[in-house]
Amino acid sequence: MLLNYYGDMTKIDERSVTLEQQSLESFLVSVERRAYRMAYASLGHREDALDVVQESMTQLVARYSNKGVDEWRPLFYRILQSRINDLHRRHKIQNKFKGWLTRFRDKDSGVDSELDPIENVPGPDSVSPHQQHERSKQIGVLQSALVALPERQKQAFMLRCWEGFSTAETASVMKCSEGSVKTHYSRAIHSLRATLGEHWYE
Amino acid sequence: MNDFEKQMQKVLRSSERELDTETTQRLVQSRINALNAASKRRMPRFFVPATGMALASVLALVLVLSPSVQDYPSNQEEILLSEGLDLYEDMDFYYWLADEENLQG
Repeated sequence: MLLNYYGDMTKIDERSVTLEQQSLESFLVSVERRAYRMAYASLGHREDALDVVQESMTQLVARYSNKGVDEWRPLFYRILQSRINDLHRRHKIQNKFKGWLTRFRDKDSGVDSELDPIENVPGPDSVSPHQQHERSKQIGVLQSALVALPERQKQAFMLRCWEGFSTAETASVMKCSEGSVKTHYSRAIHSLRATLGEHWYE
Repeated sequence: MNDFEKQMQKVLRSSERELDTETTQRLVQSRINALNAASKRRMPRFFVPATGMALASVLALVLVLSPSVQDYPSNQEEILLSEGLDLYEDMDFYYWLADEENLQG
C-alpha cells in the first residue's frame, strides 16, 4: 500500500516537473539572445559573454526555478549583472598584475578590444541587402557608443531601455536606489545623444 | 520613452535576431546544459540511495535492539510480533530521516 501511495505521488511530481521544465525552457529561449548581446556589450569578449550567459542560466534554473514565473526575468538579469561584475573584477585583478602583458593579450588571444564585425553578419532571416547593411551599420554605431559608457550607466541603460524594466525593477537588479538608476540612466542617455547625435538612425 | 530612446531600443532588439550561427548554437547548448543540470538534481522522493540509507538505518537499529539468543524467551511468536510493532511504530521516523537526508543531498 505504501509503495503504491508513493508511486502515485511520483507520477504527480513528474507531471509538474515537466510543466516547470517547459516554462523554464520557454523563458530561457526568450532571454538568451538579449542576454548574450548585453553581456557582449559589457565584456567585449565573445567567450566571456557566452560563459556568463551559461552560468546565469544554470544558476537561475538551479536556485530559482521554484519561484513564480514573473520573478524569473528580474532574477535572471540580476544574476547576469552579478556575473558580469564578477568577471570585470577578475579581469581588473588580473590586469593589475599583468599590466604590461595586456597589450599582447588583446592582440594575440582574440580578445575583442573592438567590436567583432562577424557579430553583425546577418542571420538567415535577414531582409534586403541594402536594408541589412543599413541595419548593421546602425547596430555597429550604437553598440560602439554603448560599449564606451561607464559600466553603471551601461547597466542602467540596458535594463531600462533595452529590456524595458521599470526604474524600480532596474534598481532591484542593480542593487541600488531608484534615484541612482535615474541618475545613471539620465547620464547614459546624455552621453549617447552626444556621441550619436539626435538623428543617428536616419 | 522619447523617440531617441525608442529608436535605440528598436535597433538593439533587432540586433538580437542577427547573431551568427555558431553563437546561436552555443546559446542553445547553454540552455540545454542548464536544463539538464536541473533535471539531474530532481531525484524521486524515495530515490534508491535515500531509501538505502533509511533501510540501513532501520537494519542497524534492529540489530542493536534485537535481544541476544540467551535472552530469547520461549514464546518466540510473541516476541517477533512485538518487535515488528516497535519497528512499524518507528517507520515514520525513518521515512522522515530519509526525507531530511534527501533534502540535504
